[in-house]
Amino acid sequence: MTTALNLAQETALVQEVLSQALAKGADFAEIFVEERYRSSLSLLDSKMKDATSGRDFGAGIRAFYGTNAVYSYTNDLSRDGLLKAARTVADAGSTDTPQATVAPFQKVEASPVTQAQIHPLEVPKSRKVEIIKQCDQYARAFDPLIQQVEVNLIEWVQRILVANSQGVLAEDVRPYTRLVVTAIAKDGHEQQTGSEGPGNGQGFEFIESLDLKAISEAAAHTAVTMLKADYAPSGKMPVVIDKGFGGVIFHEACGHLLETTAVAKGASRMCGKLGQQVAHPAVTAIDDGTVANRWGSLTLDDEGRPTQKTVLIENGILKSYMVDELGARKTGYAPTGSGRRESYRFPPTSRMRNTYIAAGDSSLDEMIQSIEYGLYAKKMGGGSVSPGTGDFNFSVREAYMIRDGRIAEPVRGATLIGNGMDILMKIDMVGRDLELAEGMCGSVSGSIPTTVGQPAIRVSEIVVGGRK
Amino acid sequence: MFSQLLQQAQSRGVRDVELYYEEVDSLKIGAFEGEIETFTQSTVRGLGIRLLKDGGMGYAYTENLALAEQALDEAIANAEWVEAPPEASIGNFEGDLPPLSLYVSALGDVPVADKIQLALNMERLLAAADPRITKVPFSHYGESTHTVRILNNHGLDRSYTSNMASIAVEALVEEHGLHKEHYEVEASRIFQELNAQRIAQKTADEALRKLGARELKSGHYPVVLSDEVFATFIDVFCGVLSGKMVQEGKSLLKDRLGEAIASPLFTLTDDATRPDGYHSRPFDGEGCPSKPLALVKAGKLLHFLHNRQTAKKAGTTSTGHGSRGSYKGILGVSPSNLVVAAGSASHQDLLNGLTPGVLLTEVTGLHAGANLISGDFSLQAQGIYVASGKEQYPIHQFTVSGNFYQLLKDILALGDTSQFHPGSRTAAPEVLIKQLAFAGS
Repeated sequence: MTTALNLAQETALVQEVLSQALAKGADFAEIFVEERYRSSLSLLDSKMKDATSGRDFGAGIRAFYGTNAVYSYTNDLSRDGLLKAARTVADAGSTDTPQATVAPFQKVEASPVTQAQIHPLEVPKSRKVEIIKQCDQYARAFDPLIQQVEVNLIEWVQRILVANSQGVLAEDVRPYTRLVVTAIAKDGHEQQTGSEGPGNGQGFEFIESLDLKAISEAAAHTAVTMLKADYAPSGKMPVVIDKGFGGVIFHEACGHLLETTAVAKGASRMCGKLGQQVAHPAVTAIDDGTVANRWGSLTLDDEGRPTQKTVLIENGILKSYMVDELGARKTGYAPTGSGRRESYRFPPTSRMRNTYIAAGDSSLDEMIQSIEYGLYAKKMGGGSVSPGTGDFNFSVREAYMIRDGRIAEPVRGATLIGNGMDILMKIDMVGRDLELAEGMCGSVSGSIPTTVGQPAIRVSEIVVGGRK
Repeated sequence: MFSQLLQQAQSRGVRDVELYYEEVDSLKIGAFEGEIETFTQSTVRGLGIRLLKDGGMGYAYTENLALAEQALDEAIANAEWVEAPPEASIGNFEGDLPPLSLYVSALGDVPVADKIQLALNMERLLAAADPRITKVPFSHYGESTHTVRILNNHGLDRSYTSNMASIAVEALVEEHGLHKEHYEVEASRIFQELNAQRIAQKTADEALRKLGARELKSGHYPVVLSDEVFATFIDVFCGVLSGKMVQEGKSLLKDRLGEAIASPLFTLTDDATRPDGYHSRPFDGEGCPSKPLALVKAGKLLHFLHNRQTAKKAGTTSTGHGSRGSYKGILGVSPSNLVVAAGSASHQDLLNGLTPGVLLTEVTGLHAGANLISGDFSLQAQGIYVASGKEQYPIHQFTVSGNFYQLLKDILALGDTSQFHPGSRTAAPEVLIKQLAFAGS
C-alpha cells in the first residue's frame, strides 16, 4: 500500500494519474495525498477517561474544466484505486482529446513555518497523563465551586503530497498540538463553564512550554465568575473587546467575506470593493500564513503554494482578498497561498490562516475610560456569518459592565450581532498588544485550524443580546 | 478479515473487543449560473476498534485497512492508560431488530444526467422567481449510501445500509439597500419526490418575506417559535437528556427523574424506528436494537438516554442510544429521531397569544450561543413582529435570549402539526412561549 511519502518517489505513477485525469479535456489536474496520525487523551472526574489514536489515509483528485471543478476521493491508494478516481474526474469531460499535458515536476522548496521538535509518538504516554492530571489539580484547587474538570490533549501530524499538471510537486508535514481545559462551577441549581485551549503548529515541545497553572486557573476563573454574574444587558451599546480570541469579531464580520470562496461567485458583500473604504481608518487587518509555529500557519497551502502574509485592509481601505487557485481563475486576482481543506475528502477553497487586526496606538485603559455605559468582553466563544448578507454573530463567554469609565460587575455570556459592513466602520479604537488565539473554522472545505487575533478594540456601537 | 482480527485480539489477551466498520459512497453536484461548477464523487471506508484489556479501555482507528493489526496494537497500548469503569463492557444484545427499510436501490439507478438536471433546474427556477433575487450562491444535489457493520467477540455481527438524496438551494435578495438570504433543504430516498419547483418557490417566498425588515425594540415579549426553530432548540439542547452528560455532571437534569421539568403540555419521545425520521437506524452504535423511548411525558422526566455502560451505572439496561459518531469516535450517547407531540392549537390560535410579540422564524449561531452546561442561550434571530394576532412586519438585527429549562416550563400552547424536516433530528410543532428576552435597538 502506497503512502504519501512513497508517492513522492513514484513520480511516474503521479504523472500517470494526472494524465488520466486530463484525458477528456480538463485543462488542469491535481492530486492531494494525505496520511495523518492523530491521538487524543482525555480526563474527567480526575481520572483518565478516553485514549484513542488513529490514521487517516486517502487521496483526492481534482480536475478543472474552465472554472468548473470535478473531484473524487478514495482510500484506495493502489495504482488501480488512484487511476479509478482519476477516470471519475476525467469522465466529466466531453471530448476524447486531452487539452493539457502534465508539465515536468519541480519540487516546491520552502523553509518550514511549522515543525515539530518532538513528535507525539516520541513522548511516553506517562508524561502526557502526568500533565493532564496536573491541569485537573490546578483547576480544582482554584475554588471549591469547581465540581468538574475535563482536560483534553489532542495531537496530530499530517503528511501531504500535492502534485498538479502545472508541474507542482510539493510535500509537507504539519504537526498540531493542543491542550484544552474546561472547568464547570456549580452552585445549587446553577452551573457555568470556562475553557482555555492553547494550541500550536508544533510538537510536544509546545505543551512543555505552557504555564499549566495559569491556563487551568483561567478556565476555572471564568466558570466561577460567570456563576456569580448577573445577566448581560440588552440593546445597542459601545463594547470593548479584549485581545486574542476577541479577533473572532473580525473573522466573522469580515474574514469570510474576503475569501474568493464567496467573492468569486458574487456572493459576498465585499465584492467589487477593492480600493474602497470598508472599515474605520483605525483598522488594518492581515491574514498571515507565515507566522512561525502558529496554529493557523502553513509552510505550503493545500494546493502546494507557499503561504504569504496578505494585507487585507490597510487603514480601512480594502487591499486584497484571500485567493485560491480556482478563485484566481474566476476572478483574475493572484493566488495568496490560501487554498485549504480539512482533509483529502474536500476540494480546497480559499480559507483563513492567522487572521488579525494589527496593533494600533490606543490603550485598553483609554478605551474603558471613554465609555459611560457599555460592555467589556474579556473572553469570547465562536460565531458565524452569512457572507452574502454580512450578518454575523459571535458569543461572549466572560464579560463585565463598564460604568462611568470603569470596569464594574461581571455579567453572563451574551451573543453580539451585527452586519459586517456596518460594524467594521465602528471599530474606532485599536490597542497596542496584539495576541492570537486558536480555534477551528468550519466552511465548505471542512473544519481547519486557524487563529484569530487582535489587540483590545473598541466598537462604538453593537447589539448585545443579554437578558436584562 | 474481521473475524481474524477479533481472534488476533483475543490471542493478545484482550477480554472484549468490538469492530466498527463504515463505508460511504457519495455524490455531490453543484449548479451555478447555468453550469455544473462542482461535481464530487467518492467511496471511502474506515475501521474503528474498541477494546477492554487488563482493566483498561482503549480505542484506535484506521482508514488504511492493511494496517488493521497495527490499529489493534495501538488500541491495546491506549488501553494501558485508561482504567475502564466497572460498568464498561462489550457484549451481545438480545432482541430482534425492528423492520426498517432505509435503502432504496432505485436511487442509484437514476441516471447522473437527471441529477445534474435537477440541480440546474432548481437554480434556474429560483433565479427567475423574482427580480429582487440577486444571486443563487448554491444549488446542490447530494446523495450518499452508508453501510455500518458492528462485530464483537461475543457473537454480535450486525450491519445495515441506508441511502438518502437531498437538494439544497440558497437565494440572496436585495431591496432598497437591504440584503437578505434564505436557504431550503429537501431530502428523500425516492428521487422523484425531490421537486425543483417546490423548493425554488419556498426559498424565494421565505427570502423575500425578510425584505423590509425593521429593528426590534429590546424587551421581553411572548414568542411563537416556528416549528423549525423549536426543532432547532431541541436539537441543540437534547444532550441534557443523555445519561452520559448526566453522569459527567454536565446536565442540570441530574437527580430529577420523575420530576416535572416542563409544562404538562410537553411530551418528548426518542424513536429510531420511525420510517419518516432522518436519523432512523435498526441498532445503535454498540449493536443494541432500536426501540422507542418516552423521555418526557406531560412535563415529567421519565428516562435518560443510555448506552450499555451508562445504563449499568444507572442500574438499568441500555435504551439503544450508544453512539460513536463514526469509526473514529469514542462511544457516547446520542438521541436518534426526537418527536415533540403536537398539541391542538391552530397557527392563528398561537398568533393570538402575541399581544404584541414575536414570531421567531430563524435562529443562528447555536454552536456558540447555546450553553448546554447552564441551559442559557443567546442567539442571532430573525422573525416577524406580531400585534393583535396579525403579522405586522419582518424584524431583524436582534437576539433572543433565555434559558432552555425555563423555556420548557413557559410553554403555553403547541401547534397541531409535528413533522420531521431534513437537517434536523426533531419533529416539533409551533409553540407559544410565555416570554423570552429580546435585544435589538
